[in-house]
Amino acid sequence: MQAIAPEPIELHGAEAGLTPRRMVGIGLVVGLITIYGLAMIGGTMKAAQGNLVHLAPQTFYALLTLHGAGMISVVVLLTAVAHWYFLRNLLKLRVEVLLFSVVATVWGLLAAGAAVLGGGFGPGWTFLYPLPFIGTTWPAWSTGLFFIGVLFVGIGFAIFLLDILAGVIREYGGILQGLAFDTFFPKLRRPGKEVAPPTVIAATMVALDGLLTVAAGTVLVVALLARWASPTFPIDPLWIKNLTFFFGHTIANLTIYLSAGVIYAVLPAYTGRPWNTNKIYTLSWATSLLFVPWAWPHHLYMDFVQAPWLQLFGEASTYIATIPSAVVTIFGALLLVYRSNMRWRIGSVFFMAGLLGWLVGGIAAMLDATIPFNDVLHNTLWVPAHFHTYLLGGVFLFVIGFASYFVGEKAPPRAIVKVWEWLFFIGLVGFLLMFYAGGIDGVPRREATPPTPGPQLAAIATGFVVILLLGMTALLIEIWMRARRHAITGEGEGL
Amino acid sequence: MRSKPSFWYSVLAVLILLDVFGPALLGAGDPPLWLHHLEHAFLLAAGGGFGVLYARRHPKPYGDPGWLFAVIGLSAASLLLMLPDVYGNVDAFPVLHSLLHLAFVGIGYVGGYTAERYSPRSGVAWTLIVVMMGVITATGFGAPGPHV
Repeated sequence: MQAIAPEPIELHGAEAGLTPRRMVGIGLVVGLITIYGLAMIGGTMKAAQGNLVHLAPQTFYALLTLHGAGMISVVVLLTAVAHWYFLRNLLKLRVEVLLFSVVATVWGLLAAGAAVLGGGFGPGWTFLYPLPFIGTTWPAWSTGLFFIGVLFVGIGFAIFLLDILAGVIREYGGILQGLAFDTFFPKLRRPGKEVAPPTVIAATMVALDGLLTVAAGTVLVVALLARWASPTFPIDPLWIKNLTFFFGHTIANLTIYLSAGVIYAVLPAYTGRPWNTNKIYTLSWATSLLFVPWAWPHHLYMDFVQAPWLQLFGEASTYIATIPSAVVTIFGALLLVYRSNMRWRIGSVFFMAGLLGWLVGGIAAMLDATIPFNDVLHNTLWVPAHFHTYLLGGVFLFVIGFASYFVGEKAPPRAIVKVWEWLFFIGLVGFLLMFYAGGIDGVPRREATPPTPGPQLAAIATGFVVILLLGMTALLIEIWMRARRHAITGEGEGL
Repeated sequence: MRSKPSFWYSVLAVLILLDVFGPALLGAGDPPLWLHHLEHAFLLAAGGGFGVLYARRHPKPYGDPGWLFAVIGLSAASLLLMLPDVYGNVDAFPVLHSLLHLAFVGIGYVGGYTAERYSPRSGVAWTLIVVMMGVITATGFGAPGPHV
């Protein structure tokens, strides 16, 4: 009988060199520690809004800036690392490129952190022009350092995306094949090559839209850096606001599509069923590819000088971009799970819960992007409600799910894990509901001292944040302990 | 007899030469800023195209990731050259202006070549991205806009 050699477990301390698995492990640890710190900052801000602790307004706005910019950057990093883990074999990707990407992102985060914590830079993560330059309470160096940090994050993401795109072209012969258009036109397919799996389709879409986004982001940041270096450098406020939201909205949005690529790879392992590509997937992802970059105008409905056609196009694009890929992914996941004897582990629980967060956050986002609703909800707590739902209640759950899958889940979790999960989800739902309640009541967002009932809702939300952080801490410790145990026993990823 | 692609490459080369040396031969012009940005995007694209062609004529195996880092650096360099302050300082001197145009072609060429060396068709992707950046700059980079 032929013995099957076990896959090498790179987490063994004796193994030298940077293996893909070790690199992904490093990315996960760095990202999760950063998220933890930024979540503590978020909880402190909530407590300050609820009058439970005191924060000077300048400090509040500086922390708000760091929380927003940091969370988006680190979520991009984590979802990219998780997606890369499944793409590395499909596209023959190189670990050095991921290393460079992670290092650039970390440098960017450190620079932004130094600008905020050392200099007090605090115009918000959207740094809307001219806020970073006029009437500031922070030194000029912190403005420049923050933008250099953003540039580094962009460079890190660009390197990652270029490598993905190069891999898709190399392995499948072109972008159309990466998007699985050979399901419609079989002649496009390389001889002997299978149609691209959904994970690769998602990667191709993210690479294309992501590179467009980073290109716009680079123009944006270079313009702001030029204005920082030379105060006479002219900037059209409307132009740069459009560019800011084109960059900011799209990059935040792409984290969900990176996560979808992870879901396509992981759920089949829990259900024992394959997730195949078909024409509906191809069309849905092509639609998202075309329309995701055009959804940003829904942030500018209150800008009366904006061209009306752009507002309407932005509204329509929001719907067209979101619905197809979300529906095929969520519906596909449900079909995969239905009667599959799914093995419920931390990973599978968090992936399924994350799909719910994606759905609820997505619907809340579309409501806000609908012009008559936006008349009422614009700049209220409804906005952070929706993006916390799909980022914290969606993408972050996928990240935890992936981390749990990554360290291995062969044995069922200990009974106490159920308690941690319940704590986490009760905290999460309660925290989000306070945001939504504030939005419905018209409480403005981004206020250090919000009007009534903002402080009351913030005080209750702080309690939920504490519960959420307790559950999150316990779960991350549980996953970490399992990683240590498996590093000794040699058990690898999955089930 | 020349093949058809060679003919078009020659036409492209002549257009580039005209655009590069136009300022030196014809003196300083004053095109609108958006057109100036687009003109530079064209020079980048043309340079990128030639870089890709050269890399394809000398194919080598899957390149070192170092090529990718060079590509990113070149993209940023191209944008720095598009700062209107640079235009302002350079445009008054036709020879300098021509040299700036040559720099765009050079960056495009090296960028297209390095990206193509990293992986097949990446040079085309890079060239398109840089052109995209050029088009985005043409929408208002360095312009005060009508609302100020």
